[in-house]
Amino acid sequence: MRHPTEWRQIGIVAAYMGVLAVGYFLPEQRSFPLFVVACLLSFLNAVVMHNHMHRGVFHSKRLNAAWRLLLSFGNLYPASANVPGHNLVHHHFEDDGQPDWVDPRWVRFRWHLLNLIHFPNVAGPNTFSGIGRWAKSTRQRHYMRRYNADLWFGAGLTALLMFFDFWGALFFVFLPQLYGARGILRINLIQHDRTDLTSEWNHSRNFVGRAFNWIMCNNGYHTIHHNRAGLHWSELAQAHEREVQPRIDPSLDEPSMVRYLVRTFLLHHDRPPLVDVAAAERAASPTDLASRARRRAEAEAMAVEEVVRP
Amino acid sequence: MTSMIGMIGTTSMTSMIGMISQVHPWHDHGWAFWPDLSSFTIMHWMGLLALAILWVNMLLIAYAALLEVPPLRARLARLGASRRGGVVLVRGEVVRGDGPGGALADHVVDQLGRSNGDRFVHFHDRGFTSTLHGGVVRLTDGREVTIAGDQPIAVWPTRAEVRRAGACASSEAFAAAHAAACKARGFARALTTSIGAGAQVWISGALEEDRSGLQLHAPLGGPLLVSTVHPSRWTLGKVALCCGYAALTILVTLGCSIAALWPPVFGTVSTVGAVAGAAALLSNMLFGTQIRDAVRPPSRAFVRGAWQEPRA
Repeated sequence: MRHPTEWRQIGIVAAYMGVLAVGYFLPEQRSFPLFVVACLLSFLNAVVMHNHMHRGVFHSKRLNAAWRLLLSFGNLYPASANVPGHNLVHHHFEDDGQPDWVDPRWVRFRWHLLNLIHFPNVAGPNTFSGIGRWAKSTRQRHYMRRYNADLWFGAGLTALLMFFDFWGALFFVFLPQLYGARGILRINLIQHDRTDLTSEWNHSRNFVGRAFNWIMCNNGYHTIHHNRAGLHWSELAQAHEREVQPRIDPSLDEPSMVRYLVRTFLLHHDRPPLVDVAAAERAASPTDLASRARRRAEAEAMAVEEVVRP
Repeated sequence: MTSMIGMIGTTSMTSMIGMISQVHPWHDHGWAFWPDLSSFTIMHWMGLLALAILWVNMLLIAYAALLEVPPLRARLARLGASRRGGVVLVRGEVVRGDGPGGALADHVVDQLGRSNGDRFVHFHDRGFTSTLHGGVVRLTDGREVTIAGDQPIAVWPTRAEVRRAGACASSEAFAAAHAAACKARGFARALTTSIGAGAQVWISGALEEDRSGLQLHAPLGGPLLVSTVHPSRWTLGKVALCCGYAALTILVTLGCSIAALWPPVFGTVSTVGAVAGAAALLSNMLFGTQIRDAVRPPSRAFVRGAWQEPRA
């Protein structure tokens, strides 16, 4: 492994696969709490997939490839989709004149809870449609081979499980897979709605609870992740404190995701109003952060060849 | 709109439960309308949860399609077919255009072409512009109307016209584009579709007559529309598409649910229904952008496209 903390991610995925196995192979153990745990771990599987597609867990390319297949099964979508969908498009918002496939503004119901539920129904098709177009002209070698391998492994294994026990697989494998996949799409709405996507430091909402970030492998620190995508996830907390906190609007540093979700989607009907959240960074001192155009160019250059970072 | 969707969903679910309770052994327990929940296993509850997930999402997809209808109807009202507010929809032939090449108006799509080195250059759209140069149009009743340039305008060309304008002109043009498309900066082009002399057009605007003759102006608060597509028919077609898609979504969901609940539950028909329901939900991932893209007005419809290396 490339970093000792990766054991946490491996443990998450192992736990998830274990819960899926219990739900599938042990019918007498099937219960609603098991299903809930499977769904939560499925979301964490998607978080691990996000981290892995930014920076591989293993030194070995073969192990990384195998890990990618397993993660793809975990959420029933190809992990390779993250490269164009997340790393190259979402990380640059609309900077290149192209719409972000997971921009929160794609959903516009007045009742904001419906936006949260419906968001994957829009962001998912946007992403798959966009990947199809991107793949035609990408210079990333063998991308479609990897994408198809992820897709067929994930779908094929799921179909095989359904063939031998359809209802067990449908309820205790397929539904959790969908929950995680749709949850990781939904998180884009949660992390970016009503932020300033054009700003340097106030384009994302962070969730800074310590326990939350231990489980989520520091994915609560989203601003610094966007600005320094090459940083290992174990370094994000310190980088957030050092670089983001002096420049971010306090409303974008939420202590608790649960409280944010309840407050925003259950206790209020309408979408929160737009607020000028970028005022804090205008008053702060400059940093050595490269411009967004340069960061975009670097990311695209890195994506042309599959690179194992030292 | 929300109440309509809710009513459809509730009515469908109620009908389903009523139908099932008549044929299912639940009925024998004396519960004519409501199943005996005490006999439910975890699998029954999971089945209901799965159905609920399917219905919530499919209703939202249908609702989102129906939300496209009010803006389309508003556009239909603004077109002037009913001559409301002094806005008219007229048909005629372009006699003269004052723009380059005799163009009355241009529809421009800024595109960037990219290639991975194979025999194709793939284009994606970066922006859409409509430009009015001005000119004269002869209406179907024989009158000629002058359109001044430099007004806000929306140009609606047909898809065939845009495709023709965007076609690769020669192998030399392909070679030049391909060379640039293989580089990081890509091959930028402005795909221009011109509406010029001889073109049959529909125009929506404010018709006025003064000493110099008939003039068409952009209506208050909106652009002049110059279209080679029948705008009313186009708009009505899209309204029908959205309503039809919403209805189809609900019907498919209803069909899958009835099959999934067909007694004995978890039997063959029930399994087919569940497979169909899962497929219906997943199919949205593949086709879900199509309705939204289809209702984009022709002035902003996606063009994209590709050039293929001409064979020697």
